[in-house]
Amino acid sequence: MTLRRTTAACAALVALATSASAADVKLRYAIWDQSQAPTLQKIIDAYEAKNPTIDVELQVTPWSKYWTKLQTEAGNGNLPDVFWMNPFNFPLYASNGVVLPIDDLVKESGFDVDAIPEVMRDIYSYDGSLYSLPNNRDAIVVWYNKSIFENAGVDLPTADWDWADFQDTAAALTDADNGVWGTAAYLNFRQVWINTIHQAGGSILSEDEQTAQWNTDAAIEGVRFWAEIAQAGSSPTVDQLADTDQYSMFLSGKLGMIYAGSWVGVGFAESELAASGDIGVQVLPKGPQNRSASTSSLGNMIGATTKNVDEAYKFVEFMGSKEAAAIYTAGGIALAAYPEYDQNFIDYYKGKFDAQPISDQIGDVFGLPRSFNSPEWLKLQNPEIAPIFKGEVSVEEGLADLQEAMQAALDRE
Amino acid sequence: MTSMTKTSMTKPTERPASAGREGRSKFRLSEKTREALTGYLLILPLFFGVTILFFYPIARSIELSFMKTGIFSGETFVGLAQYKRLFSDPQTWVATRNTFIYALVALFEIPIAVFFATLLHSKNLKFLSGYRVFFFLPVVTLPSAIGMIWALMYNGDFGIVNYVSGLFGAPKISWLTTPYVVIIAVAFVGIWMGLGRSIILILAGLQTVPKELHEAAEIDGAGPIRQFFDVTLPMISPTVFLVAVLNVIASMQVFDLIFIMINPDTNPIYREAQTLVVYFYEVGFIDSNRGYAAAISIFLLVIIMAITGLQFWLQRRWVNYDR
Repeated sequence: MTLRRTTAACAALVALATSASAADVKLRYAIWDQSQAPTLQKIIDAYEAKNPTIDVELQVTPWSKYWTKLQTEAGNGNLPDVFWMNPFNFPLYASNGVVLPIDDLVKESGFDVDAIPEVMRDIYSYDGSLYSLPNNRDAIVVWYNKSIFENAGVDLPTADWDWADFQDTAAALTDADNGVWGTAAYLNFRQVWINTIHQAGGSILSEDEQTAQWNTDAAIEGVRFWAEIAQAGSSPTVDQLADTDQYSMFLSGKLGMIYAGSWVGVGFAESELAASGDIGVQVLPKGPQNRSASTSSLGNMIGATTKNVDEAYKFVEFMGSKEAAAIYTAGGIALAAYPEYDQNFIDYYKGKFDAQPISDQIGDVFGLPRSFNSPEWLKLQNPEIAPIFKGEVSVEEGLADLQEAMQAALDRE
Repeated sequence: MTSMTKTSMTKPTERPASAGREGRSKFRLSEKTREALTGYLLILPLFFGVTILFFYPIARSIELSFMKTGIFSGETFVGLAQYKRLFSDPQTWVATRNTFIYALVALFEIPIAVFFATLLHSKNLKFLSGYRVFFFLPVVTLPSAIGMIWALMYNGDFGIVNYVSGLFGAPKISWLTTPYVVIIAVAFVGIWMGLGRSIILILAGLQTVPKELHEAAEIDGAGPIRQFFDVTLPMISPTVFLVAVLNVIASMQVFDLIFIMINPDTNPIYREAQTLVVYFYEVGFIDSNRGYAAAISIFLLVIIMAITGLQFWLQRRWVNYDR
C-alpha cells in the first residue's frame, strides 16, 4: 500500500517536472540598476502575458559587482541569457564573442530596425553586426534654477543661446559673497567637456580608435570653454566640488545652471527645488560648430552561452519594441528609441518641471568615443583637467600631457 | 589494542606462534611513529584549511603575476613583463610613497595608545569603564561609516575641522584635495579608528607588570615619570612591539578609508592619494587586469615582509624579555 502510494507520487512528480520543463523556458535577465527594476518588471509582465511559456527572471546586481560577475560568468560559460550592456564595455564583449550578433534573427522576424535611430544602433554595432535593439536613450541638457535667475534679474535661457550667452549668464548669476555660482565646471567627461569638444567640431579619439586627439584645436577649444568659466570665478573650484558634488550644490540653491544628463530628472523631481517649481531645463548652448549633446543607451545583449537563443531574442526584440517603449518612457527614467513616446516622459514630469527641451535635445546627439580599454584612458582625464580648471597649467600644456598619457594607454591595447 | 592483539594471536593461520614477537614488531609501528601519525591526523583538517585558504591564494597570485590575463579568461605566460611594467609605472611609485607616508603617520598611534592606556590603568580614575568604552567605540564602528562622516568633517567649506581651526585663525584647507595633506588627513582617521584596539592590547601588557617593581622603584626614590620610563616601558615593550608589527601590517594594507573618502569620479587628486592596495583594486577590478594586479599585490607582500623582518631584527635593541 505504502509502496504503491509512493510509486504513484513519484510518477506524478516526474510527470509534473517533465511537463514543466517541456513547456516553460526560464530566461535570466541581468541588470545593475535597482531603481529601474519596477519599470522593467512591468515590461517583463507584459512580455510574459504574451508568451506564457517563457518565464523571465530579473536579476539585479549592483554596478560595483556587475562587471566582475559577468566576467566570471563568461569565463565559466554561465552567462545570463540576456543582460544589460553599456557603450564602453560593448567592444570588449563583442570582440571576444561573449555576446551574440542578432542580424539574422532580426531579418528572420522582420523587425523594423530602421525605426531605431542610427546613432543608437551604432552604439551596439561591432564589425558591421548589430548586437542589440537599444530602446532607451538620454542626452545632456542644461538644468537651471529659476529663482537664482530672478534674484539676479537675468532673463531665462532660450533655445537659441550660444556659448558666449552661457558664459555671460554664468558670470551674471554669480554672487560669490553669498555662495552662489552661475554654473559648475566639474570633472566629468560625459556630462561636461566631451559635449563642448564635439560642439567645437572635434573628438578625443580618431575614427579608427587608434589615436588620441587631445592636441587638436577642437579639444583645446572645448576644454577652454570650461577653463574660462572656472577662472572667471563663475563656478566653485574643483576642490569645492570634490567635497560637495554638483547635484547637491544645485539642489541646495548654490548653482544657477548645470550641465547634466537627462537621467538626473528622476532624482531632481523629488527635490524641494522641483516642488517649488524652480527647476528649468534648456537645450545646450550652441558651440562654434553645433549644439550636439552626448548620448548613451543601454543595450540588451544575448549571452553567447545561452541554450535558448530564440526565446532570448524574442525577449530582446520585445524590449526593443514600441510596446516596451510606451511602458518605459512612462516610468520617467529615459526616452525611448521612438520619438512618439517622448510625451509619456514629459507627462511623467508634469507639475515638477517642463521636460520638453530633453525631447528637443535628443534630436541632436552624438555617441561617445570609445575603444577596447576605455576604462584605462577615461580615468586619466580628471587628474589632468583639474589643474587646467584651477589655472595651474595652460589648456594647451595640460592637454599635451593628457594626449601623451592617453596615447600610451591606447598603444597598450 | 591489546584485546585485538590477543585475538589475532589465537589464530595460528594468520600469525604463527613461531613468528612470535619478531613478527609482531615488524608490522607494528613504533610508539613514536604512531604518535606522530595521530598528530598529523589531528592537524589534517586545519592543514587543508590553511592550504586552501592561505597558501593556494598566495601561490595563485604569484602564478598570475607572471601571466598576461584576458578579460574573460585565458592566461599567457609573459615572464617578468608585469614586474617590468610595475617598476616603470610612475603610479606604482606614487602609491608606494603614499603607503609609506600613511604607515609612518599611523605609527603615532603607538605613543598615543601608550599614553591613554597608562592613564586608563591608573586606579584613581573615575568612570574608568566609561572611558574604555569611549575609546573602543570607533573600533567596532563600520570603517565605511567612519570614512563617510570624516569626509563630511573634512569638507573644505562646511566641515567642522576647518570651522574649529578657523576659530584659532587658521586658514581653510581643502583636506581631501591637497596632495600629501590628504594622506595625513586620512591616516589621522586611521589612528582615531584603531586607537581603541592598541589601547586594549597595551592595557593588557600593563596589567602584567608586577607591583613589586614599582614599589621597589619608589623606595629607590624614582618619581612617576622616571618609573614610567625605567620600569613600565621596558616591561611592556614586548606588547608595544606586537602592537607596532600589527599596526604597520594593517596600515600598509589600508583600503577602506581611502576608498570611501576619496572618490575617483570627483576628486581631482585621487591618483595622488592612492595607496598600493587602492591601486591594486583599480587595476584588478576597474581595468580588469588581473595579471598586473597580482604583480602589485606580490610587490606589496614583499615590502610588508621586508619591513616586518626589519622590525624583528631591530627589536633586539629595544624590546626587553627579562622578567
